[in-house]
Amino acid sequence: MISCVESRGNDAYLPPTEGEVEISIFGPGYGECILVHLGLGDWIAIDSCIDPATRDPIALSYLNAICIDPETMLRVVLATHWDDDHVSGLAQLFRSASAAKFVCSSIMRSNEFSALVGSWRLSGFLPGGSGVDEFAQIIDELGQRAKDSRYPTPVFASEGKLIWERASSPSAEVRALSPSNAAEVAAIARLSMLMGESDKLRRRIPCIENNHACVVLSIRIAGIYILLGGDLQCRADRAFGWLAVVDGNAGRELHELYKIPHHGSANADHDEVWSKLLRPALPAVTTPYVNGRTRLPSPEDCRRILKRTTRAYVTASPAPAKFRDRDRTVEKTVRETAKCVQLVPGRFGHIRLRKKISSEDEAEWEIALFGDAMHLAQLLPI
Amino acid sequence: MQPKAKWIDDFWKFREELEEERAVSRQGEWLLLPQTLDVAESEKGTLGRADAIRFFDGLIRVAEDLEGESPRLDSMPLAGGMTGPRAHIDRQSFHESFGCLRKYDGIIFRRESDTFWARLWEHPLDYPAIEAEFDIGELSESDQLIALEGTPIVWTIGYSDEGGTRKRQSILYVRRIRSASSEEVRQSEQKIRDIVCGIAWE
Repeated sequence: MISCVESRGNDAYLPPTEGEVEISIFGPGYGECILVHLGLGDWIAIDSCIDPATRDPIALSYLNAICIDPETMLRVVLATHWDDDHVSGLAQLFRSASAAKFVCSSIMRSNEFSALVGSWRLSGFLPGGSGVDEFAQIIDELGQRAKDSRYPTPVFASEGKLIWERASSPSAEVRALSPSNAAEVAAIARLSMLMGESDKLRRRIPCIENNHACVVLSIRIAGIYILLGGDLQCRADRAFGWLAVVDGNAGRELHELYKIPHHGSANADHDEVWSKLLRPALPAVTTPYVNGRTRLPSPEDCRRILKRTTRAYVTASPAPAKFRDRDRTVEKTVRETAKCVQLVPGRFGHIRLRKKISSEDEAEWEIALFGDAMHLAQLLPI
Repeated sequence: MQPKAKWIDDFWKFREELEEERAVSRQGEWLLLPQTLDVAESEKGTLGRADAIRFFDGLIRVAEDLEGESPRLDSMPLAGGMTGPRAHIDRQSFHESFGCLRKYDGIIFRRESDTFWARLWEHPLDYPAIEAEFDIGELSESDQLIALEGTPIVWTIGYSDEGGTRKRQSILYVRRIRSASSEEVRQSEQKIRDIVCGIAWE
């Protein structure tokens, strides 16, 4: 039984000790970012979203707030996939972390991806930014760093690849569990279909359905195993998605903390993940997603997840904020013209999970909820 | 108030145009305001009474609607001042203007058969963004065909003033941006490939 204690956090700016693991998950309703403290002052950042208060990448805001220097303490900046909601501010975060190695999905080494970024970056500046803008900036930064051997070598993540490790005690390693070889080939084929679209009126790459090339991470710090699910989805074919991850990792050490993939949606959930990769009744966290009328996790998603573990949390309610304008005439016109209008992201929350790295009795997870973070059961209609 | 002499000159000039073109529709562009009309010039023979009656006849009917009266020039005294509609005929004073209250730039992120969703920003770095769903009919027919996912869009809200009439307007259209040439695309792709190839990846 995994021991946990939950609290409404009031010490958001208290940094972890060197002997503590921390997983901080931020999710404002459109976007997601995870920071992991691996002990001994080593941090990694997975994906990026914007801090509503400072408009900076949330990882930078948080590390600055707890007096951690991202330039020297961030070891890895990782993009699980290129969806706009996962990469906002990622280039700025990477530029601020000169000691960090950049990690992305192996499909990004393909000629198709380079061609796609090369052609779509000519779309010019788009309001709100785009995933292509972020990757184009990161590639420029990597090009600059390639001339200087002080910078760590970037890594393409694929199934089973070791991304980062620390041999000294407490030992730690970060390993990619996806994408599988088959997923990589399928994703590259999908990319090639997008070629040639950029000479039309579109200025943003259409959303790529099914995140089969998403990077899933397994993190080990001493005896603590954490599974970060990204946005990887399930497919019937066991060579793809979560079933490929299950087949490649069943029988290994079970994880005791889970970042639920794809904002809790049913298409990223499979019984075998819970039975073969995760310990029972473990703490699990997800982030909300609001996009038009899509709201994740839905009440059905919440019920399904809560049947698997009662210790399930979400960083905010998947509810948009109400539209307001400083000018009543504008507000009236907007409401008369649009069928539906909302502000996204609406709410913002942070869930922090800490645990002492101990080789003796199993320490408990301290789960602190900040902002609009809540227990998943609170999303269910009364 | 305009100088009287200019008013008379303009009046005759326009009358001549009217007779030539029979441009009755242009009367609609005239601005009628109830105010004192000084017709002293007519006593000097510059403006004949019959001309004035014939010319103003159609316009005064408009003024009737406005004032609920039936003023007729032929029943008005021609000496001294009189109260009645005045036609401002300085064509430069007729103009249309648009006062913008808000302009949003955005991207269509979902297109359905009869609606679409767009994410909009007043300033590029605004946070949070506005998400709005529109009927496809809010776009012109030509824009409806190209309003696909990923297409940039502009939404302007404001007042338009036309000849003293103010209308509140919501204007939604697809932004046409110059596309990169094939050569520009080729060079950009090559540049990215060169950078990526120059990086030693693990």
